[in-house]
Amino acid sequence: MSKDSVKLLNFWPSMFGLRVRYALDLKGVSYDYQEESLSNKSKELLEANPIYTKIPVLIHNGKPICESLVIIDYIDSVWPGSHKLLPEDPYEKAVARFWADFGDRKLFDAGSRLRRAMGEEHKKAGEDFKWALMKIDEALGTIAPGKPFFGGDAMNFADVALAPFICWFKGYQKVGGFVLPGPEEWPNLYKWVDAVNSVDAIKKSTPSPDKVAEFAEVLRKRVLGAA
Amino acid sequence: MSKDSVKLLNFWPSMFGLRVHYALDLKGVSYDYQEERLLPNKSKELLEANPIYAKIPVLIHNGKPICESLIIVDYIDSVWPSPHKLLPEDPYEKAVARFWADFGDKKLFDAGSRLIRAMGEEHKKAGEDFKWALMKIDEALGTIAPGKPFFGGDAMNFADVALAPFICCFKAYQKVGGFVLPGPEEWPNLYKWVDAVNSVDAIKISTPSPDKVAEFAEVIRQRV
Repeated sequence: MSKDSVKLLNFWPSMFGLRVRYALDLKGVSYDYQEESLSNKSKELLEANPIYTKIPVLIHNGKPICESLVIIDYIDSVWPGSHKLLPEDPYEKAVARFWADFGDRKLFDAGSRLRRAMGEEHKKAGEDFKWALMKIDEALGTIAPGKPFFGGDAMNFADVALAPFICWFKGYQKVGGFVLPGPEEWPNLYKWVDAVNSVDAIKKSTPSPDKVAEFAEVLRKRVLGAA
Repeated sequence: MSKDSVKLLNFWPSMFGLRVHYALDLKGVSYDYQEERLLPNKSKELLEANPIYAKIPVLIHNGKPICESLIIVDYIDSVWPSPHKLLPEDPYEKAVARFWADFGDKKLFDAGSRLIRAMGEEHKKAGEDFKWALMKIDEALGTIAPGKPFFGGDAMNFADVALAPFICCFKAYQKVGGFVLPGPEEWPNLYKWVDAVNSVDAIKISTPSPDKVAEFAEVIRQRV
């Protein structure tokens, strides 16, 4: 049996790339890693993702798959055996997909505005970011009460989609100029954070929150400098 | 066996709601339809079914709400896999279908939204972006399913269902955008696809008239 060729094109601070690393690492899939410079994108990246020219891209046996949630779905289909990420039950699957998508629509969107916006818009971005985390805290309490993950005892599709934001909390607080509420206000969220951070596969690829915060501040300074 | 209760909360011009109509109709699933008046107030049922976004469409299946159109279509395909499976079994083909469905949101709907809301230079760019997106869909059809009418080959798949609702909106976008879309000489695959979609009986059941959609779009544009 010939060996699978699995390669990830990524940029280290990317939350979207981290989702793919989490999925592969949870399933124990070996892969090659290629760091991309976004100011000088490789020919390989441009050919693999001509529509968006963005990372992450997973190249499996020469075929490129783009868009992080599409990639995780693909990984889960190709390697279902160890650590299935999508629930079998259609309704539970829909719930997992909903919260993964919420990560893009509400959490990432607010985080982006925290990095790019100014004045009133910047203030609103902070409020929206906190609202999104509050909703995640509530959801954890409703979907998997008393359990550490959206997936219950193990991480599922929603957990993998949302977990990469954890290492960005420090960075968002710095550029946002606020301190996030603590475990007294968001008990489920912080239990989830601790549980995620305890998973060995997660520790493998997660960049240091300090390094991410440094990167976030560099981005923010560019925005402020251009203003 | 007790009867399934399937209900769609929707607003008739919504492309997202139309995706759900198409999925249910292609599979021959019976459902109740509830038209939501989004202004001045959303119904209590909608707010309870979709507290996070308070948006349509929402599918309520045996009392449980499912939100977000592509998630709903995915759910429908899981619960009623036959007839007419929408997601390919092959993981790579499935990823390609999901990619183009998502492209509909990220690029086509996004440009369309800006055509409705933007002014001046931004409005002009929205028109260019809209046409670029359709050109990419034309190219994709030629690459993914050469010689076949649909992304799914001989029958509509997940990508086709996600993108087809834009067809009845072409007239509307051209009106508010103030441009005429290139024709079949430039985009042969796209127009073959449009004809093929419009020939499907299940699609005809719920598609609103392009004139009615264009009228609605102009009302929204005038408010802007």
